[in-house]
Amino acid sequence: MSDKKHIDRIFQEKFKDFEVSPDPHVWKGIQNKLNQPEKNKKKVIPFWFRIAGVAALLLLLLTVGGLLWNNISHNNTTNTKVVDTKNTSNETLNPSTETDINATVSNGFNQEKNPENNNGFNAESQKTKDILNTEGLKNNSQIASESKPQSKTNNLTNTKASKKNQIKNNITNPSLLNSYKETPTVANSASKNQLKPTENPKANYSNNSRQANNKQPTETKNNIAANNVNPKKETDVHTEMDKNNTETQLQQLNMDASKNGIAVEETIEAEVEETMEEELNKTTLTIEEAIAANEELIEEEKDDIINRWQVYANIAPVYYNSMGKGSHIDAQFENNSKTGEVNTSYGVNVSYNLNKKLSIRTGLSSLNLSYDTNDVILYESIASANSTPSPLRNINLSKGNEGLTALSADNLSVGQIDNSLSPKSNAAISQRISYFEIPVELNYRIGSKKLGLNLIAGFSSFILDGNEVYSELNDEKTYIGEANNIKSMSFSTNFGVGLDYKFSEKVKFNLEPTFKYQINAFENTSGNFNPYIIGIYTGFSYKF
Amino acid sequence: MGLKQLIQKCSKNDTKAQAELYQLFSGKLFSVCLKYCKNYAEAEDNLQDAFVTIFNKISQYKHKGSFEGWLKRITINTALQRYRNQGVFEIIDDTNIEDVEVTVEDDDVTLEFLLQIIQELPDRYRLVFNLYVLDGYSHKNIADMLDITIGTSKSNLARARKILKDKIEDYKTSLNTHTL
Repeated sequence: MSDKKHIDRIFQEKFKDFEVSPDPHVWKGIQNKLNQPEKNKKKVIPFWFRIAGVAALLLLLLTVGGLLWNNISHNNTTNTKVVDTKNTSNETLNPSTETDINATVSNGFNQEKNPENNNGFNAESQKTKDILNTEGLKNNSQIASESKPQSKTNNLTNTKASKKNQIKNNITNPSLLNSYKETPTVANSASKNQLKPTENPKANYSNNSRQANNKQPTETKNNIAANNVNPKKETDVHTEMDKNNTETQLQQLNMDASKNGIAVEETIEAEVEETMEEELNKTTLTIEEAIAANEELIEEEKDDIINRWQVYANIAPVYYNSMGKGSHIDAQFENNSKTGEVNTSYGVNVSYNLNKKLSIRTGLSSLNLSYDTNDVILYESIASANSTPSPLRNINLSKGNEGLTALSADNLSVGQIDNSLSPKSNAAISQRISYFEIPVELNYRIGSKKLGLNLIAGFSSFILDGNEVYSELNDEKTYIGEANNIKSMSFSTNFGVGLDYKFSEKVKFNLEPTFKYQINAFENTSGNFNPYIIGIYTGFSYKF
Repeated sequence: MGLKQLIQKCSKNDTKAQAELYQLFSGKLFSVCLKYCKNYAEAEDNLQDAFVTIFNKISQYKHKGSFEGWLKRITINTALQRYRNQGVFEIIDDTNIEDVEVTVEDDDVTLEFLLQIIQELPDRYRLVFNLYVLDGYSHKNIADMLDITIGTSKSNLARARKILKDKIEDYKTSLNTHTL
């Protein structure tokens, strides 16, 4: 039996009553998926935990990024500068046969200034101060025997204080060179192009360090180049000049070569010698300077990198009160007078400096608070008042006090007070709370190194530790129970203004009046019960 | 308990009601999944996803139109999304293929076999064939749902039919050779 049927019909007919019951595990999967989000909702996650997480992540990224960026930027500067010198040296090499003195003057400058960028960091690695010193002396003596009184005087002042001399030297040197070269403007512009004037002292240090490195057995690229140059300067200047002209593999060699080449064409040996001496002078002058500067640099860097962490121990008188009329006990106490009391908080913070001005901090503090509701009449009720909810329903009364109930004295005229009232009248209900506080705060610092002003903003989590309710009558305190409407976890938003004074590099004194507005400390409050905390946090912080 | 009541209970996340609703409709909807997905395992996954969506959105059901239709649409959409998300839609603009009538002899072609060859179709052909032939969507609707042109939908359908026809014929000849 076979009919011709349209293919659609075949499928439609077959699938008309198509029904397959799925495997039971599918239903289990659905149940699991449906239950998941509910579980998530039940968890109380402080909402700033996420923010803190993000902040921590950011911090990590910034640190790693910062380190990387520093490395890259250092590399970049050296790379670009190396390229610069190559270009200039090549450019000047070619016309050198045509005795372009101007070019070579600038070339000379470039040579002196450019290597600094390469050497600035190499110099850090040099440790043999002694060797350098002796070398410096050697050079000095050489110079002394050869010429130039001005530079000699400079040589003698190899102390940190001679920084100024150094700068002067830098400025005067070009003019010295220019004085016997023909067009100083070209030279100046060339040097300007390479470096800003403010960088000049640095340039010299590092130039020196290059020279110093020449004498060390541990060699970097530049050292090799310089090594090649130096013997020539001192010995083979006259014989190898032409050869030098043709060798173009090492840039520094090139520069010297071009210089030397020109000198030959000029055939003024004296001038060549002079320039050599000047160069020597310049470099030998400040070997110690260079070391000092490098040490300073290293120290600064250490400062930047290491002093990021800070520990801050603090203690504070804290004042606890509520904004707006309201009561955490019962509506009838809304208008009663209340007293916030001064208690203490103490704790430790750890802060991390994101940069010079901004830091993030967290910590742990213990916080005691107390708050009195005055003019309460407390009495043992004879008939258990089941009809109306007890005004003390927010308090789990302790044993022996179960029958206790309360009235606001404000609501009663004197005549209404009858015999049923126990002697416990006109008391205060004192609420004692102690919390563990975990703040997460951002601190923005302005001011000088010594004295700073801090703007602080953040959040705190409060974990309930202790909770007691006392009745207070004529300074006599009786424990009556504990509140049942205080949340075990609550939060606050914090604002503060702080002052800090630096005693030493490591130790700082801090004074931080801080305002904390609690967000969800109580359940079932009546009226506008908005508790806040004012604390004047004082303490010392220690930098690592 | 009426269906309306059941739906209301489900929208309140009543676990018992959800289980009952699942019992009522899972068979029907699983068959939809089997047709639209390329194998049994993916059909199971799809059914699971569809029911999660159904229970999450059941409070949005306005009691307009058939409830079963609503469930089916969600299930189909879940499948479409699955294959849309996987980005497996190959872009072939085969608008030139004419819509040939394919006729086959109606023998004892089993449902299992038909399901198998549907599942073996390339994703888009399978979706278009299902939507048009088995679930009665128009080419316009299909074009909108799959973000393709009406022409593409038509040519996809034609190709699907051709493939299915060839497979059925092959199947028959193989059956015949076996019996001979």
